[in-house]
Amino acid sequence: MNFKEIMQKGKGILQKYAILFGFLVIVIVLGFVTETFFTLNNLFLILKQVSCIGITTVAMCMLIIMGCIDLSVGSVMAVSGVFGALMVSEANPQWMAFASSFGIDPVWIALLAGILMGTAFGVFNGLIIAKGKIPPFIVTLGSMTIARGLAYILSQGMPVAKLLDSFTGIGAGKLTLSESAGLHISNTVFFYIGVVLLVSFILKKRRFGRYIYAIGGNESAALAAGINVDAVKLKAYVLAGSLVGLAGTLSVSRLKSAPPAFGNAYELDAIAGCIIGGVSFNGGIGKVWSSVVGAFILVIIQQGMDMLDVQTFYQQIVKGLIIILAVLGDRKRII
Amino acid sequence: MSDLLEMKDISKRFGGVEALKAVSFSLKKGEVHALVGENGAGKSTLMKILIGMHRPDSGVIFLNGEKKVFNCMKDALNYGISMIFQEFNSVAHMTVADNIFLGREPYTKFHSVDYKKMHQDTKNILKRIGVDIDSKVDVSTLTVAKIQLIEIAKALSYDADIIIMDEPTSALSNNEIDNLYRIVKELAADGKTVVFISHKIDEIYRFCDRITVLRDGNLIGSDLVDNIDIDQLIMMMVNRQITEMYPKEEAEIKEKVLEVKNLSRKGNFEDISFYLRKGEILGVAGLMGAGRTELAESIFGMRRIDRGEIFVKGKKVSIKHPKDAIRHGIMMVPEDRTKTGLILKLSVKENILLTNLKKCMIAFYISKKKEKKSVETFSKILEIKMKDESQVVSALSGGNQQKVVVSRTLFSDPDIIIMDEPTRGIDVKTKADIHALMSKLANQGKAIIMISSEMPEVIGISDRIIVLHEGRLSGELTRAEADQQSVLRYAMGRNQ
Repeated sequence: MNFKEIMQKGKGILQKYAILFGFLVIVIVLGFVTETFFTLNNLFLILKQVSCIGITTVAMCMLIIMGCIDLSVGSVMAVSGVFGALMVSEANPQWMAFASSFGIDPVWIALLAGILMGTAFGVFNGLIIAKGKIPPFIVTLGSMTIARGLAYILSQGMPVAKLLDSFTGIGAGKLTLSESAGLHISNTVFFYIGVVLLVSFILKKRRFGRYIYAIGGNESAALAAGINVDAVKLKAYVLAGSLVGLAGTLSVSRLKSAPPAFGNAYELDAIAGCIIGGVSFNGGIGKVWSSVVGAFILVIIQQGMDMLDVQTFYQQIVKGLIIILAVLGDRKRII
Repeated sequence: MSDLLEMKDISKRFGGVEALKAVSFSLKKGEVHALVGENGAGKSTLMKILIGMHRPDSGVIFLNGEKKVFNCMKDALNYGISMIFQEFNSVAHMTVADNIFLGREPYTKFHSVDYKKMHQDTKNILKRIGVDIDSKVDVSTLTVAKIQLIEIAKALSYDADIIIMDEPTSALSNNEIDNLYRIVKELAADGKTVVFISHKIDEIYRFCDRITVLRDGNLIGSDLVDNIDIDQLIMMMVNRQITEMYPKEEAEIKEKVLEVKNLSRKGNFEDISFYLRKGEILGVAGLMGAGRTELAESIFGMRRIDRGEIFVKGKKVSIKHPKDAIRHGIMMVPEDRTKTGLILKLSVKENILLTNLKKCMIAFYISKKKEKKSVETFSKILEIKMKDESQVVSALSGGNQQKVVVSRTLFSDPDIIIMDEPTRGIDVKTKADIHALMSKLANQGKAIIMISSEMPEVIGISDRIIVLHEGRLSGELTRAEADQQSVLRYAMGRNQ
């Protein structure tokens, strides 16, 4: 191999893994510039911050692989969180009474209510997309507004507060590794890991997962292969909806309050996470793992900029540039 | 006479694959030159180098004795070389004229697009090639055959000296092919040079003056048509003699397995009734636009029927979705493998197993071992050439891709198989393989419906032939009765 070939090969590798190289550079710089970046504590903090948006990113990843999208995830997180929180809010006795009437711990009712609200929006989106043959972008643009409106109505425009301690314990709770060093892993991290494993399994090992790739790769070929495309789409939106519901409820429990405006623009973070991780926007290509990498990159960069005292306004510009760079890098990849 | 164009010792490598190995190719002014070879022989690569789409790793190109380097397609166009691609490059929601003049729209003196001139020029070009299409209609509303003709019109409109046609007849009916023949001969008489890439041997002999054969990226030979006979040509292409192109084994024909009665779909076909028996290959012939594909897709549940009944093994069935058809034991090999046959981004394995993943499940998950075993069975039977089962299907040659589609069909073990143009655009050897397989399947008791536009194919392997003309059943012939003339007569709607 001569020099020119080596240079070419190097260039190819650099392009292929551009996003990972960029990521490594950022991590190394952060490690040198700040004292606290390379600490276990910080790692666990990053994990905690990734987990809720991470669950939503996993759901988004599945839909993007299917060649679809969901713009409503941020709003659905909010309405799910609000709905769940109402069940355990001492400020809303009538809902609490309703939750208690089931005869089990209202905390479970709250979690279930949040997930069900997300599922309901999944059913709504999925049915209209699959049966009505309307592009997902348009349907979920509509349900984004509907969900946000519903969140305001349910919460009467005010953050749902005074939540039961047993409820906030779900999200705010943690597994303590070392009391003296202050090492804790947040509960939400375990939920995240669970979701990643579950969806990975579904995409890799279940027929439903294989069909998602097939539909994203070539919908008419999937149809001709006898796949019930409508049913798969509906199922995927329902699963995504319930995951988003879970993410919303967990977030609210961690925040100890459910503001109806919460989750604003989270759909953009979720989409960005997928794209940065390398999920093809054209569908058919990507892994759950990609969405995990993408979500981490976004959170780490955010946190790094916080540590470096970069102003929020500049942070947004950096984030935007990273998304574009990631896609530029992706374009060079040979499918 | 000196050569108009000479490509000398052209080599090209894609990753680990040597697509062309020091191939030389030359063209004389005013000739129609056939470029033939199996899929993957390097024909398209060689032509893409000629039009500047690919750059050769080594080798030179001389045009009129002068050395030239084509960096992009525009360079080649400027030197008078244009190509009609096998895959269409038209913008669906623009008009015919917009498409033909895309990128070089004429301007008025006020610097706005001169639509009047554009449409007038388009009309002239279409008239010249004898095509009756309104220049103002959207391309998306046209049939494949018409789009193909527009691609031809587009290439001619560049007024190029060298025109490359990559399988220009694959979507055309016999009438249109005759028309194309006339155009090609006129071009040659005008001193233009045509490179004609085709898999259809009769066409090569009909259209061309000279033949160049490639095999596995090597130049095998180049000579005047008169000096190479058909056997020699096939020999050169595949390096072995194919004694029987249509090896039909006689199969025992038993009871009816499929019967359709008065099937109608508005705008596509009307009142179609026929039956299919176990062990039988039923050929469906007709010209482009006769409604054959639509009929097949309706039986398979990809389109809705307006009226009519379908009976499978004597029982009336309702088929609203391909999954219903598959449940009743009907499977289909679609006409267009890249559009509806395959998911190009996925692997060979995933494509083959898609319809019947159930067979590879253990408890609640897909077993890798079972997948591998299933794929191996088929890749052996059909001799699919691939690196391994996880290779992406888009990396395979056309013939091997078709084998993947056929494998998927067989994997779900259907009783009735509908094959829509099963050998379109694939090489001679694969074609023979697929014909042999169909014959074997019939012998095993499967019932096959085969739609084909290639007359020798329909006549060669069908036990019985039904012919469609403009959406109606115009005739039915047994194997003994069928010959090219009779089938064609029905196809053109001339019932005696």
